[in-house]
Amino acid sequence: MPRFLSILLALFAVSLRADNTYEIEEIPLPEGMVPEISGVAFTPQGSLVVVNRPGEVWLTSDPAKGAKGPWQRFAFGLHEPLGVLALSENEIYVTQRPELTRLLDNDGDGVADRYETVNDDWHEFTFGLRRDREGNFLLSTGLPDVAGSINPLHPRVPLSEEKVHREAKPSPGLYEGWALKVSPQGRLTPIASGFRAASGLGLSPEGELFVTDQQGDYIATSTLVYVQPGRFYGHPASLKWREDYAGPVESLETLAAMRSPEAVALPHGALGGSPGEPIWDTTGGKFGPFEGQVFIGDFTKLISRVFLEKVAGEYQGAAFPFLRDAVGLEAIQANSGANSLTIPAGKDGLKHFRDVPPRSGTPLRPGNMRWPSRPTAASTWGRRRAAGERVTDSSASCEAAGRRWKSKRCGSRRRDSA
Amino acid sequence: MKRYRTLLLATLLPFVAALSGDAGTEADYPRVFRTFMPNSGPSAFAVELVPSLALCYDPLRGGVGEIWTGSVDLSPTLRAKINGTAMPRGEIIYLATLGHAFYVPTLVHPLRLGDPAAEPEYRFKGYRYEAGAIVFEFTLRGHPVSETLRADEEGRGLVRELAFPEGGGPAFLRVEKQVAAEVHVEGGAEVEPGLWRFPEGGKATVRILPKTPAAP
Repeated sequence: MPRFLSILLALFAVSLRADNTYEIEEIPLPEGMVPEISGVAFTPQGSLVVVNRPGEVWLTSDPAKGAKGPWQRFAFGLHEPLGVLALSENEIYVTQRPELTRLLDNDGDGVADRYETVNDDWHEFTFGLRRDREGNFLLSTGLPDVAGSINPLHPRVPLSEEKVHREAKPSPGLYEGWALKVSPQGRLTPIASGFRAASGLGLSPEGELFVTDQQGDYIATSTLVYVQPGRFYGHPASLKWREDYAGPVESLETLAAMRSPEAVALPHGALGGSPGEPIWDTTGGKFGPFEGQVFIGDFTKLISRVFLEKVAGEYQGAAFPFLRDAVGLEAIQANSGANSLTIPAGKDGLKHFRDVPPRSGTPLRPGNMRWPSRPTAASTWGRRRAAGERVTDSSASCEAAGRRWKSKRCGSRRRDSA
Repeated sequence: MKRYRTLLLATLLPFVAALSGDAGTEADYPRVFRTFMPNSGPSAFAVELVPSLALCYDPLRGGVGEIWTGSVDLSPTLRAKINGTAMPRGEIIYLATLGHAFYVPTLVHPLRLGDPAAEPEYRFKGYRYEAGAIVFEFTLRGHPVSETLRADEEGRGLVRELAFPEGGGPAFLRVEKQVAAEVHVEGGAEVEPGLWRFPEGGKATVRILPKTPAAP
């Protein structure tokens, strides 16, 4: 009898393990597409839309077929698009460096023939893209890496060089380091400031805006921030575009008093180094026991899971590693502290980031985002699904997994580390 | 010596261009890339109308910037996180005087509505592809204006077709003399040297053709 029971228990444990196993599904990219993926979305009809840093928008109605599927280059020639939102098969919005753009395929040939400027009141790396319940577009901007590239004879936006002071990132152009709202008619409204590079932007099921900000100057570790209008979240370079700006903040104590805290801090290294879009599990249990929790893909091949609770109008919570690449933690630890930059190097990462500098304190060179060779049909990005979920189900979790993965990386099956 | 250097560069450049980029086929043209371009504001447009004719369209200047015979090398801006500017590539006919371009404007917002002396409020609105052409759209003082760009029949020169709105008053275009290009204007009247006036709701055609280079 005890033997029978132990067999039963073993079978039960095996079945539990199988039930709790997650699979990573490879989606080979089409030949000819540079695999520097910078944004992923699905159309309401279920087509997969992928944008890349060289400025292309690709679309396939059958992602399960991978590279052999019906991929179509929908648009090209955009300036570093980092966010995408697809309203239909022939109407796609992208955030690119100079503007929010509406791409339209009017003649139905699968290729955009019209690139419409919705708003261009700023010029910087621009992330997003989400739409609130009123139809407004929500996006966020980074701070410039360098100030010298702006041509003062032809500034893109109102330029305030006289306001540039001691910050490492001077934000000389309008609304750099802000979360922004653009109405369907193209009117820009600033929401909140203090971001270094809020490269992930998401909406909770209740329609609340969250962003992830990136570790660096003034931002001690990456964060998940509940964004509320008028608030300031830490990086002072963006303050000059507030109406109440009265000059540089003179002390860290003053700055700390001005700053609203994040909902959750993501410890640098242990929970990544460069988080992307926060995605809520709204699958009703299809993706495991995490309904209502948040998943965040990270540049360091990590997906975090975040539990949030709202207390007296403010959010707090806890973060856990959900899935980590086999070399992820080692790579992060190996590179953290080398030169205050965290990059996905390590043995495996070097295959994909050939120009990553060595650990020995070499300054980060322009070119760390170069792609190593011309893409092939083998170039893939991963999407994640719970075992048993239909492959063609375009659940939000797929976006979480694919958001910032840039190149060939996925094994055919990996187990949940959570 | 300078002349020989120029000739040498002009001879070698097509081979360098062939090694460094994507030439495309006839069917790929025209094509537009938003990027960093030299002598322009950030996020100008690199426009390749045909394989032999390219230009910079700069919303901050208010229209067409430099024009050259050749194409665009995007690799400096695509290969780096902290970008360099994309670069013209092609024939360098006028290297000794102008560099790569045969048309080099210096004016900002040379197109105005109503008052030729007042710089208009300019808002860029986007662009669209039409057969053999690119149509840029913008507003001046809130009035919609379109500018269609196409190559001439020989693929050497640029044809600009401007369409002006009703209700905005007459349009004025200041046309600069060029060292290396001939500029012809149709559809209006030259009201003073270099300043052309067009009727409200009218159209203008501007043809810009490279001058034949003098024999070395």
